[in-house]
Amino acid sequence: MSVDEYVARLGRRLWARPLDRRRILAEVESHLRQSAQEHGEEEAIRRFGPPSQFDPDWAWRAVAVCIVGFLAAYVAGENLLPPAPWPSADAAPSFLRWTWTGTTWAFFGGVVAFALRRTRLAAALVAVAALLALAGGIRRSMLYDELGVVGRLSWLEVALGAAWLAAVAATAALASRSNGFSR
Amino acid sequence: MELKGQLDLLLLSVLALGPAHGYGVIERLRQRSDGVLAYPEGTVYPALHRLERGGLLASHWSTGLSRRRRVYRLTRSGRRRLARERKEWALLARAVARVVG
Repeated sequence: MSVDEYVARLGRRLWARPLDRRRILAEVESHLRQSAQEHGEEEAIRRFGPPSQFDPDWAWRAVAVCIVGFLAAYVAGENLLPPAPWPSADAAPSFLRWTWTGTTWAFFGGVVAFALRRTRLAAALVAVAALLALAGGIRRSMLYDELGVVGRLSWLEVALGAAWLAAVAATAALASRSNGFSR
Repeated sequence: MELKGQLDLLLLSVLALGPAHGYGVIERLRQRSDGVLAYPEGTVYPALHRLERGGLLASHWSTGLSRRRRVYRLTRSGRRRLARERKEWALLARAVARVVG
């Protein structure tokens, strides 16, 4: 990675007021260029450390965005789906029942963990909720297809929903790895 | 080696020698500790910003030489804090030495 790439990567990741952001990036670039003159670009970047160290709040923001995004996707998905062909939720196929229960518990567990400032746990639980919702949604679409349910979601809509939930899961997983520091 | 929890004291101490930019601060840390204290260089900047927000440091852009650099200096509050932290550190160091032997 070059100094330019490092600064660009940090710039994409840094959540700060525009003035602070410009200042941090300018300081980092100046530092890395001086260090690179003495040690070479790769060594300068290794000595400097990863971009994540500059934004200790990144994980919090990412998890908060994931929670809201997940909720929006889930509610929108439920509203878009046609009524189920089974008479009650208890009569739904077992795979759907346990993914729905798992999603609910994991999601609310994530919210509670977030409220308790347990970022890693919150991110992990939101990721699990998103993956379970994803599995349940795909399975339900397949069942609707087999049963010929009228007004079922198209595969394009399912794919878009799946992509959104996968993005939520990936961001949550990434947030759990963020190693912001405060000394 | 990193001295956990003492980065603020170390930064204030090296800046008591005179104003410096981030890279210079790290170089001073390394030189004055004979290379023993080696923090990941990036960790110094958030700490410098935090100390500045706390009024212990002030900074300005220096446009000398070939590139712009942010130069940090101790404020009066920073000097008072440094004096206090040095006393606390001396007490702590003596106590640890007595225990460790």
